[in-house]
Amino acid sequence: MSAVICLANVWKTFSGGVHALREVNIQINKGEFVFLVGPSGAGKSTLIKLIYREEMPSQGRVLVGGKDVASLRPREVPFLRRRIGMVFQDYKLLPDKTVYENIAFALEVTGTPRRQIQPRVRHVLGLVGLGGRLRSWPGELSGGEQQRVALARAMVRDPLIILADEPTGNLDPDTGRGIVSLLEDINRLGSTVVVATHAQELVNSMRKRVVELAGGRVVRDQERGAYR
Amino acid sequence: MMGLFAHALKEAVVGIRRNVLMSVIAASTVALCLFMLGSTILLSMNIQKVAGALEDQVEVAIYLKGDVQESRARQLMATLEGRDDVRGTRFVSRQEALERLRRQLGDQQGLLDGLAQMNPLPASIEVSLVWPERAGEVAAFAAGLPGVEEVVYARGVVERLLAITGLFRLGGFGLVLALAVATCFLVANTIRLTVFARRHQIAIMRLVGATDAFIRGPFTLEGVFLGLVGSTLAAIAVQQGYYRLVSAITATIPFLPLVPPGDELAGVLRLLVVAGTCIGALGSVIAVRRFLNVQGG
Repeated sequence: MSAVICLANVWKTFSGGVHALREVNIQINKGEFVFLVGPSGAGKSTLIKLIYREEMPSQGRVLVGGKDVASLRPREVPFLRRRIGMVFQDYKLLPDKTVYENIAFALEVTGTPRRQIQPRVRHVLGLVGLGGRLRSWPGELSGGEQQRVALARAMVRDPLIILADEPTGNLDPDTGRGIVSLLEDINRLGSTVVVATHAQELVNSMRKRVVELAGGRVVRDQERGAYR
Repeated sequence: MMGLFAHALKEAVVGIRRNVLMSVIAASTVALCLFMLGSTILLSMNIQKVAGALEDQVEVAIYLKGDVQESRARQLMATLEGRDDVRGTRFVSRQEALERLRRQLGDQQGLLDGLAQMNPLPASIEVSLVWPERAGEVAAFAAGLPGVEEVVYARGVVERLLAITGLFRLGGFGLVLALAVATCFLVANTIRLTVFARRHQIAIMRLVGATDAFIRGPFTLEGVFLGLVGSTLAAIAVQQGYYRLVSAITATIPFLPLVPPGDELAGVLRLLVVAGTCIGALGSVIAVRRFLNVQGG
């Protein structure tokens, strides 16, 4: 099994001496679906940010696809991010672009030829059940619909990894379940999925691998785990 | 590379269309600033021109002894013209001097009737200068030449005139400089506002893996476009305004030496458009760079 994400003895200390992560060791293999759980401030978001290199580790190594992300030059960072699909609690859609444009944008960035963009955008919008909302503006959609657009954008490039930071945080439980089941679909299509969350019922109902953080340390790493 | 440009162009057009109010405000600010800058430049140019015309009138008059013949005077003129601070010389015969006096006296020229046979005025050489501040030096030199009776120039007046024109020149230059700096800041800052309004867009672009060049492209083109539109409006306003102003002034004060609305004006207008466009682009680049560098490393 090849590790897609590997954190080896990672520390993250913010200015002021706050340890957000302490001696974290995690290996996530290709095709895995992992829940990252723990209370607010446990270090879940920081860990996610290390993977897409929004933050740099203070100590230790973060490998993504076998490459040390700390060694990337700033101009190489966009190419790392093209292999990662990101989903956030607040969706992060461009408000002045339509649903179609928001997703097409992720492909335009990589220089995908226009002929290929349209069929792929339509395809992923169909997968998330929004085939009819192509021309809508994000502001016209419900929270759940916006998050599904964000999912479509994350998956449109067939990424190696999907990182979701509290993807259901702003949604009611039913809608949240829908989002997580879409993440599971994406996982089946081949992407490795990491979901940071504190939605207990969701984690308990899925029986996936659970990594629990507390005070910046990994306190539990369990296959087919529950939130507890 | 062509794809990158085409994309940037498309995004720039969309960006302006969807942020109409912000774009209009930005272009208007550019127009207003550059209109003021252009007007100040023209004001300054006219001050220089008037000052130059006044300075050109500074002359040294050399009065010759009664027995000096015109041929001798011509030799003196050649000597004077050999100096690099002398622009030209002009011989004024005794007869001409008398006629000038007659003209100056106007109604009272009858006073001169008794002098018809005996002209008391000396012949003279009028010297125009390259640098008016050298009047004293030229005068001293001329006083030492043979056959010279007396040398006269507006001592004191010349110095005061030069002090005043110098002050005006400096003031005009300072005004232009100050306004140019203010314009740069204002325009760059306005363009920055249009970028700031979309900083979340930049953050999201970075998240989905857009390269810095890809993000910068549309914003730079927007800046160029807003700068171009604003400065073109300013140039048209300056051109129309100046044309009318010059016509009006020339009608009332015809002898005032103004910069004609020709090539020099065209140069100022070109400068405005180029400056506006460059500052627009630069403002964008600087503003976007700030949001690209939010996360170091």
